Amino acid sequence: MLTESITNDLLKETLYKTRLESGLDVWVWPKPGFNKKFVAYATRFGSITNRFVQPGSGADTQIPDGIAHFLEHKLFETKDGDVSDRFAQLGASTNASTSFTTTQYFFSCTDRFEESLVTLLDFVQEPYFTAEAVEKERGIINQEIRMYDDSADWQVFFRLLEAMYHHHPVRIDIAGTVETIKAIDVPILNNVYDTFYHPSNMVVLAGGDFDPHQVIATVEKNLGKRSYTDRPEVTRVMPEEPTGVYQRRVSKPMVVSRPKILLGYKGVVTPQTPNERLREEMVTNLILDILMGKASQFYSTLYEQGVIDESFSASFSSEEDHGYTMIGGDCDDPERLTSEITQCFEAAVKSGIDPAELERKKRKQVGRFLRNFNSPDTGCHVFLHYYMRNQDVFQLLDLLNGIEVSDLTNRLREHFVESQMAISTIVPGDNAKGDA
Amino acid sequence: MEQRGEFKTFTTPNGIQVWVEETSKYKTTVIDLYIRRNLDEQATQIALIPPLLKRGSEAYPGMRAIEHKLENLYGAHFSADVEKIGENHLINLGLSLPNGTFIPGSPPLLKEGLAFLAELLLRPERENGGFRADYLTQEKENLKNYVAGLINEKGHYASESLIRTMCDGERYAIYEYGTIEALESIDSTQLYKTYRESLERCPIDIYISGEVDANEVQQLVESLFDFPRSTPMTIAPTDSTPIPTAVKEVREEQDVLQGKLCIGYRTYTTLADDDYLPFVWFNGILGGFSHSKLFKNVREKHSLAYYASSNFDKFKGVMMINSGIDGANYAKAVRVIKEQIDAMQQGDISTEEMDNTLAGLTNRLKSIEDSAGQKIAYLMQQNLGGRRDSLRDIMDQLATVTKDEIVAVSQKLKLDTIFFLCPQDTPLEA
Repeated sequence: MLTESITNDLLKETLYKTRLESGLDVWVWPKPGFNKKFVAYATRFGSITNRFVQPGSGADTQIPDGIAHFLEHKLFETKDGDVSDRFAQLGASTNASTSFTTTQYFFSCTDRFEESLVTLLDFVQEPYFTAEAVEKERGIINQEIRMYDDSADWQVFFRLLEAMYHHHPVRIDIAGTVETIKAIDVPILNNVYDTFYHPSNMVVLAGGDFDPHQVIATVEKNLGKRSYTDRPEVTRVMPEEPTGVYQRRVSKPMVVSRPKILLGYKGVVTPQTPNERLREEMVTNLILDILMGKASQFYSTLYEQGVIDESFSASFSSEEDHGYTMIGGDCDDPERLTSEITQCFEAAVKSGIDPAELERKKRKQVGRFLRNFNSPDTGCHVFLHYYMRNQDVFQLLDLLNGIEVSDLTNRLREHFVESQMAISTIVPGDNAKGDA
Repeated sequence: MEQRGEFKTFTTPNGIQVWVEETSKYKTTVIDLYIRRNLDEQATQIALIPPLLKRGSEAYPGMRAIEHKLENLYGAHFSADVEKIGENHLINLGLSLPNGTFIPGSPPLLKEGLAFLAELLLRPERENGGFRADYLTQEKENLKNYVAGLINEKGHYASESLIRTMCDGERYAIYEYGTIEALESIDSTQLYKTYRESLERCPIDIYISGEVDANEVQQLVESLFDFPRSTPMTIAPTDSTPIPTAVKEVREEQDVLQGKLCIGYRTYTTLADDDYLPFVWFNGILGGFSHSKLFKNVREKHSLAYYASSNFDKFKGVMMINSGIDGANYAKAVRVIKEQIDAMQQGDISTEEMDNTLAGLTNRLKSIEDSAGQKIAYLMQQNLGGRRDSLRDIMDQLATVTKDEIVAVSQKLKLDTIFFLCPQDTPLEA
């Protein structure tokens, strides 16, 4: 087992990487001088995987919406009770989260690190699901779902995903619904766990004031005593997703003081390497920042006219099989904002992009990049984000420097097109069960 | 220069207190400036000031000019906001700059950053002796929308409603962003006068943390922030003494799916008191961690909620319990919550709870040491409360608190108000 160390000269930081025999990736980021030690243990399994080829039988298997998130909750249950109690005894604070593409378990501590690390490794690798516990968790998750149902920010976002995508599972709420989680039981949880929580699908990422070789040794010892066998990658089944959006406009009444709008551009998925996709993401976000960021004419004019306020934002994000731009915020006149946005893109296509703007944005990104690495936990979150996408965060600034105006003008023409656009609004009114 | 923990501190000739932490731990340099006032009927005016300062200055007229400058400072981040701490109202300007040594050429970002901050603070864009009329009109509209928007954040709305009900008539009930009603009559000349008066007479503190030299900071601050100041106005202490005559129980129905339960207690304990740390312990055991009594009983044992926690305002001496529950479970949730407090008052605190809470509190304090911004915020609050002990001192003292002291301080608790934001037609039960 070879450990490689990679140093980024600008950041003056070094990352140690290794892959264990079981297939688990272990990345360690030594951060001398900090009290906090942070570890994330994560799997490449999130809410968008709802269908796969069963290893062994080869059967086409579908799983209930919300299972990845439910499993995240239930993994904390062990034979000896809730593992959070153990972390509490050790003075560590622990958390977990489920996204579209990953499930992550973390702890951070300032003392008794080895013990907390072993506790994390143990509980994630030792599932313990009982029917009684599953039933009780349903009540808790139902409350969590309701909390998100009442959040206008969450709703405007998810409604937009529903509007943009015909079939892609990104349109399904991460926690599922009160209805869909009724179908979750112990056998399903066990199967999903066995399928997606194999070390070859996972990573341990640690940051803090420690000896990286020591940390790697602890992880290796823990994984080594369990009998993992090689396993080929699981085939996930994704539905065919047509280009073009499912619904042009959706609107939902909620008890809010002002309308919210999110305008989306659905990305077209093309074959690319992960770093090419990273570059495309940066190019797209540079366009959005130049055209609609706080330093833009668009922003200051519309802000002065009261069409937008500080809640306005615009960004693009992409994964291997889906990507989208979302633009919007609180707004009394969603129609006006929509036409301003489309006109802004049209004008930019005609007049092009000022190279001076691009240069200034590159300068801005240097500081933004540095800021990520101020402490063990924020840095680890960033490393994990790029790890999950198979992208090299240390190459980010080099990629950025290589971007030219022509990259932006090409992307502008190709991505921000009418046929790929959908609009989601939340309007003041009483909650309704369906769309207005 | 005086040393206070890891900060060096000095007073400028015009009475600004400056605190500097020299550290090479971070990739950024953080600057936080606080202007401290009483929370009072001028709250709405004060809330307008940070957004107006962000609109432009003489050298950087307009938002775009400010934003261009920040981008040229390698993506520096500027923030301006008001904060309510106890019955203090603070204006906070923050600037976070990349540490120049990480940028090729090592540009003098600290000097540029401080100059920029001074410029925005001291020379906002004006016309006819007041703030620009168009900026004021626009920011009044934005503030109005912001205040009206509180209803969108159900949890926050419920907490604020609890405070307003519980502390009706006390300064603490004033929302740090003011009221919509007060906006209309505010005129730009009067507002600018209020602002200049604040600059002249309010206590001002500047905190800086990064790879800096305190002597250089002193030179820069004393030259850049050299403006006339006079005798500081008295900042009144926060009143933690009111005694409820009867428990108030209030409910408000809205079109929501989840109910928000907020319960307010008076603790008669503040950070200036000898039994302050015992109360920090109490709050931790009750509802400050995922091992706490509220989490374990309201969430884990009875499945009533996704979250159940308690928060202690160490200036006002108010403890607030928050939980998101189904409308139908109101009575049960209130009962279970009260049971936890009764239990603690009767001494039902296990060794495990004590150990876990100490570990958790210590972890939190040590984590603060890792963040420039959090360390500054902690020091600022210590200064506000007149405490001189450092983070390490507090950690040492926490470890000496006994169970008897925790039980003793909890005897002072008085239930004041219960506020419940609930779905329409939630049945009332006994």
